[in-house]
Amino acid sequence: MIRYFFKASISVAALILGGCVSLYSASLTQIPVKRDNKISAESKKLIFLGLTFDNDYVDKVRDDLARKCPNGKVSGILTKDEFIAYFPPFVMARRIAAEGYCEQNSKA
Amino acid sequence: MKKTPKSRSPMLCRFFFLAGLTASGLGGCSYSIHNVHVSDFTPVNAESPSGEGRVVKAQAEQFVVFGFVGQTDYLTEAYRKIQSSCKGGEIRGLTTQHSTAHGFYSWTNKVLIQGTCFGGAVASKVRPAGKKA
Repeated sequence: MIRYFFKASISVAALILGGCVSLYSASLTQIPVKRDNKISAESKKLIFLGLTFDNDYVDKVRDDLARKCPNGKVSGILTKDEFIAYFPPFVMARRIAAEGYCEQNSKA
Repeated sequence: MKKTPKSRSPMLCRFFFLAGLTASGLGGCSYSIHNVHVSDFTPVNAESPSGEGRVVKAQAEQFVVFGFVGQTDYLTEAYRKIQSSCKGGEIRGLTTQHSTAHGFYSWTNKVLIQGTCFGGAVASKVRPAGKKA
């Protein structure tokens, strides 16, 4: 009976909370005058049963922003760190999304 | 005489009533801040004697019931708001606060962005002190 109740509770929680998103942290850097060239980058990591062994997905966001603005300056960067519950507690994800403005260096 | 399960029901009712009353009473009492971020300050004086800087603020909220929410667009909304409050200007010294106000099985996520606008539509009307036209 208890086992049945436990299974039912997990299934209901997973079905109801599946797809829910919550914001873990946010940050914003200096916003420039020129806001024409908007760039963004995103990186996601799927987490099964809460097991994760590195946070390298965060570096991908920085690398992507740098690649999209070569020889330039990226400012006004809004960074979101989100948690996504796909099928809790079995399948979850963390997502880092950043958007900002690229100012190309005229001397370059 | 044997106790029937029905004789326990008033006790259970009282327990749930008191638990509900406590929860509804305490709901909304807690308020937590998750993170605060501060960007570069140049110059340090927010509203400098030159009259250039002006403080700009933007706030956005998201009401959540039982955690059922599929997006975090309120942060982007605050981002758009602070940019529109300083059109044609540069926003420096930005602080970003992310907090939650708890309610009864519900809560409100809040984002407050504050900064100093240099230049822009309104600030440009203020002539820096000590400078003649």
